Amino acid sequence: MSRYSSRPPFLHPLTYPADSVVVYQATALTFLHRLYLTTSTLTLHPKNILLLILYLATKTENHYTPIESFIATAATAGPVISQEDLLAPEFKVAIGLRWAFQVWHPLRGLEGIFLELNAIAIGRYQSPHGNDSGRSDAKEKLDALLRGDADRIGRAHHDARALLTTTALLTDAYFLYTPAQISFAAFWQADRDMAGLYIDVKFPPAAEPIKVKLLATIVECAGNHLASTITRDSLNPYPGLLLQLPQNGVATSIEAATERALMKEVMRIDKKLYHVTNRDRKVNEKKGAGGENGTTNGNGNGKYEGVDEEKRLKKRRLEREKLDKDGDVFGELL
Amino acid sequence: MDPMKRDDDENCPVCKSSKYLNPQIKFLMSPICYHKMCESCVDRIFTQGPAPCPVIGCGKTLRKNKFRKQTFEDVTVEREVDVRKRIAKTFNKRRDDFDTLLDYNNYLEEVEEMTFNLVNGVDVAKTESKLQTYELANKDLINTNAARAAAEMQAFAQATEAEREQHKLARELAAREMEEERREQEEVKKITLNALATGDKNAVKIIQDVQLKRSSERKRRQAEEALRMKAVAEGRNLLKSSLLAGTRRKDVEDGPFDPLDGLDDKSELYVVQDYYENTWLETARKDTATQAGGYFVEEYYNRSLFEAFSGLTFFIDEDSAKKESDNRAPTLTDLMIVDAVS
Repeated sequence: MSRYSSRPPFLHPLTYPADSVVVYQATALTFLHRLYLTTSTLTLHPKNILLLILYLATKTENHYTPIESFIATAATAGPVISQEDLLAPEFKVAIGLRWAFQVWHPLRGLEGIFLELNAIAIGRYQSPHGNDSGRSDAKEKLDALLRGDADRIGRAHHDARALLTTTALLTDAYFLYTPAQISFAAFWQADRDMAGLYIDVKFPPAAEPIKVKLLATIVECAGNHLASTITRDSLNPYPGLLLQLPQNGVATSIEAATERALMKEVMRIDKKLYHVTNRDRKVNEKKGAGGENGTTNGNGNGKYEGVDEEKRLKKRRLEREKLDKDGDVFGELL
Repeated sequence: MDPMKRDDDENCPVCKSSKYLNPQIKFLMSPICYHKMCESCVDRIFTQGPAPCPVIGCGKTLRKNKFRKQTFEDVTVEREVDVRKRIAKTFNKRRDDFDTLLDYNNYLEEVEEMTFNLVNGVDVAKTESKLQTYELANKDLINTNAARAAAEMQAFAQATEAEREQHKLARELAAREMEEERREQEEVKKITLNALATGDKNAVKIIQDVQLKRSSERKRRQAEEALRMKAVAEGRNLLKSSLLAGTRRKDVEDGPFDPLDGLDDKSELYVVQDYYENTWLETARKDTATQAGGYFVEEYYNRSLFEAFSGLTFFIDEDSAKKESDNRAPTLTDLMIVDAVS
């Protein structure tokens, strides 16, 4: 996808020019992740809030679309929804997100890293430590690394960005590392030597301990979350924790997401969810119809269930009557 | 003090003469070895020039002009006072020579330690050399402070003198006024009697009116004078206090109050430059519609670099571990376990 073609005709002053549809997707995905940290799928079914989440993401990312046109656009792609249905869960979602709508995406920081790298490449880098020798040093080092391959920076940028718009969003990296660390981890994963060089340039010799610690964190993040070598059979780096990781069966690409087995599993879960959510309502419906006519429920043994229910109610009524007679919940005085 | 010892004290240790033999005897001592001897001994031994101390086992070279009368009965006190005087002459810095109170207090502590060392004979050589080096290094400051102290003393004396003068003047003035009043009243009385004698009732009334006018005029003048005096005295007091407060207080321009105490939002990891090469940003920079919407490419540089580096060296696991250990106060069980183990 070209970053240039998807640019809106009018840029809001707060928009990042490198932002594109990718960022709305990223924000929407992060909302979903954050929301289901504290909210059960029993309360809010993902299917009912997907469009709303997307709508909120466009608002958050300063790409506001009036709700009518949003619904109309959605209808051209498939889902038809009314305005009321779209906005009904908005409050619950907002509470689930704890009203924290802004997302600090690492893919924005990545643009900053590559702005600087390009500046180093053309010898315009300015060191924060105030010495001009840093500029030529950095350029020499980078030249030595590139060896005339000027496109290498662009390739690293592309690869890192690809990681940040897919894998990083689908795993739990956002919860475990700071945005800047994820940016650097993606950079590291895309081009180790260049990332190492850049970090060397950034940290003066006096800050060696911090640098070592940062490198350890970046390598850990890259190795556990972003590396393309991770498969479902890889070792889970967080034993005992059910994190969103490729190792735990989380798809990191469209191919993986549309895998047959995975789809089947998702459908099974959804079916289960449907039954669990609707169990109480069914029971109530049955009772409203006299309790005898219910023929279907999740287990297909509605009749027995109905009889059980009646017995239970009777037992409860008797107990209550007995209590009323005794007059004390805890029985008579000793 | 022991009365017997006091008696013993009255003897000159050199010539053994005592107050009993010579009631006019005067004892002197030199602040080199603090050995006491009578005035005649001093004259006898030291008139010819410097000579060793006659006390057995001392032998320090003393000069006649250094001998003086003992102020304190106890020689150790005498000696300590001398040492303190000497130290105070060298270490004459003041509070306003220091930027912070802490610095001043540290300085005072150091000075007191040196004084103690000299008084009690701890590390004397080392302390002396320290004193010498300090004296050499701070010659100018010591001289300035000494001059300042002298000037202040002089100013204070002058101010006191002027005040006394003022009081004297005021007293004289009051006396003169009273005298004048008395004379006037007598005069009026005389004129009134004369007028009464000639039987001129009208004249008596006129005289009394004039007298009343004069006395009220005088009272007004007196009140004015008192006010002027008061103002002068107040001005002098103000001057005195400002002299005492020290004239060399450094007026350090601290600038406006900074609630963040110098903390700024500049990063240690990057500097935002005016221009970065980026083809895409060029289109945004040149696009009139984008510019008209208030979009600044510079703002984009700022934000993307900020996001690239903010929180880079913040380690979440470390922070949460710290928070956990902070929250984990020792519980009753922990204490019981500790008790059981110990």
